[in-house]
Amino acid sequence: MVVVHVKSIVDACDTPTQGKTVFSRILGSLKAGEEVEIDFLGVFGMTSSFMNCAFIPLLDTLPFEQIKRQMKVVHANRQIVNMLRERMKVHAERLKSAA
Amino acid sequence: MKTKIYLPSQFRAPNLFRSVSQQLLGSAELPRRVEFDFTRLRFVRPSGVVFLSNVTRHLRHNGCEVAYVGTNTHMECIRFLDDSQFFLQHSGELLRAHSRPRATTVPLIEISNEAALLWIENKLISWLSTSSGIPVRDLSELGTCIKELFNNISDHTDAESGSIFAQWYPNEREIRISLADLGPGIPTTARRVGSASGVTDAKAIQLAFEDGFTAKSQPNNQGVGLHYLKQIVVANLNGRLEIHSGTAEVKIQKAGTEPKFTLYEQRGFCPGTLIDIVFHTDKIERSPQEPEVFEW
Repeated sequence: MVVVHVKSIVDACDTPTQGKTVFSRILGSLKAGEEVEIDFLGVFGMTSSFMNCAFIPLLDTLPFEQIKRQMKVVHANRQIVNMLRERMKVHAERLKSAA
Repeated sequence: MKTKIYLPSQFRAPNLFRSVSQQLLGSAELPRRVEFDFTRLRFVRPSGVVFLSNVTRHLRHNGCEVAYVGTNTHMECIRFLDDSQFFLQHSGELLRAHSRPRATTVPLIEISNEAALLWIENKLISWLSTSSGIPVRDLSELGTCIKELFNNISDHTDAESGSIFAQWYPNEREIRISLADLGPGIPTTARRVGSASGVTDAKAIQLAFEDGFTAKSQPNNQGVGLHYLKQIVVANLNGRLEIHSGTAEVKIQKAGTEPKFTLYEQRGFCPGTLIDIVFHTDKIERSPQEPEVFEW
């Protein structure tokens, strides 16, 4: 399993640039079928700008069910958990209805 | 040409929006000098402080000289404004040498979008946590909302900064945060979307709060930021939002179980956008110290 400590690769989860950094770090492993654990220890919160660049684009490449199977999240606070879960679900549904 | 504007006794954004802005900004040509007279001022809210700050910046940006008169430091509201660093920001000096920011406020600051993201965590949220006794982890939603607004300034405007002022009312356990920018305004940006072209300013603001509505100023925009603000402040915290932009005033408050929009058209004029956030901190849900268990 690949463990990604978010705080060790970005200062915060606020900007599109920070989001793209995390996206680049996890995409390859997920595509290769590996489990990825994302550790949010010490992260205050996650903006939608970050979310739109770090996680939403995964849905353009991988099925949502596969992402759910392989991507684990630890040490995330309530805001991060809700933002991640709800926005991924909403975007996956939008893609599904657009298909 | 010189214009003298008597500020209303109730120093709140809606009052300034209707009276001051209409007198000043509704006309085709700005005066060369504007004097704001504080003599009638009695009561100050954060939205009034940020509104006048934004109008002052707008006027100066357009070559207009701005002066403040009637700033009697025996008046409590003037001392409050001075402690809030309003005069320091706009006249370059305090009215009273010993003025200091009050513990119940985060003084007026104009801050770059980039610096704001760190400032929100290190200053604003830290201050609110100390004031209210609410742990920082439970203020993450609020902090993220404010970050969303600064990210919106970055994404949708040419403005490189925003102005913000916050006040904590300990007796009511209420927080008020006002934030403004001098971008093109939400209605102008929203009308770039085909489905919104031609709608009124107030309707455009309402559309901008819909989940998924985006002008796509940046390729990664998904139309989440303002919707998230509404969900957190109005739906979750039973608070209210007041937005002034262009000629519109929009209030969002819960009616029953759903956020309800009240739209006012052509009430005044606001350069850029001003958003006022109000809620009771008792409504903030407390979470256990252990991190959340994530399940899809």
